[in-house]
Amino acid sequence: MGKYAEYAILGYSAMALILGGMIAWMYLRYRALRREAALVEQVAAEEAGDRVHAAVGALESDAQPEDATPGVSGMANPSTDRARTAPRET
Amino acid sequence: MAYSDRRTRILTGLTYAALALFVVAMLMDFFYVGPERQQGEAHRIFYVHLGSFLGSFLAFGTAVVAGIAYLRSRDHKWDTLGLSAVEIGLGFATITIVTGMAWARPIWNTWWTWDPRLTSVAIMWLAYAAYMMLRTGIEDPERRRRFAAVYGIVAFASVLYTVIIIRVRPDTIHPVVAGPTQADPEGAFEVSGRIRDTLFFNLFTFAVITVVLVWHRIRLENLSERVARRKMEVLADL
Repeated sequence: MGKYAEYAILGYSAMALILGGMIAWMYLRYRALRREAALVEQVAAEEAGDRVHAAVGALESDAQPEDATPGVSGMANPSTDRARTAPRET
Repeated sequence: MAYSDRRTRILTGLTYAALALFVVAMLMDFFYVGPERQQGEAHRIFYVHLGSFLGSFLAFGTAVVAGIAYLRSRDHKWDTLGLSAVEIGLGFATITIVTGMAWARPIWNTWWTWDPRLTSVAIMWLAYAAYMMLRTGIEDPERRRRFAAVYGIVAFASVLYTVIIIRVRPDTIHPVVAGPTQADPEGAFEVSGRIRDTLFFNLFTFAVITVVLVWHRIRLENLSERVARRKMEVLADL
């Protein structure tokens, strides 16, 4: 080791540390953002899925209300409707 | 924002080129050029010290251009460029100061002295550190961008002052590499032959590294904005 070599090593080490720190910070931030983006998309997809389920559920309950009674609820009942309108056999 | 394949290829190529240049520069710093007669190995610090100062000068200069472009167009891409440039420039300014201290200890027998040049570079560093802090303190995006643009332009005065001061003040002990000086610096040495080759190669390398880092930082900022925007959309839908 030559004269003042320890200061040269110190200077270069400090430079490597700061430059490496800048690059590492950018890389870690990039990774964190990618993870965050994936998480946001996952939440969005789940939310969209929930909406589809809710919409299907609402359609089903509209189409077949659990407490509906044919003839009372006002729903059309094809079999009785036909019976009412069919000509009587003589 | 989707990037074209061509731009991504250029950035990737530049990144590898910067890495290769950096390796060659380090080899030149330690093996191509020998120890200086009086300063011994300590003079090797000078290559990265000057290289990193060039990096910060280019980055802060870019922030001025970005600031002017933003004030003219109000396009927020210029604000992203300005922010990225200042952040990278501040990193390089830190390297300049720290490597300067490592060089000053054996040559001036002190880590730090309130020499005009050292004082001006400290002011420069503080001015840009304040930019980063003040920026985060303004909530309104439009006001923040306008402030950052104006501040980025005004703060460049500290960079110019740092460059000029060693050429006009007779009481500085900081060496001058190029151009006239009225002072009698301590620790100056002749820049010729292999020292000159190594210096120019390092300057070029740090310039390329600055461009690459600012470019990557811009992409990072764009990604950050994209994620924040998408988050707001998803939250609004909930």
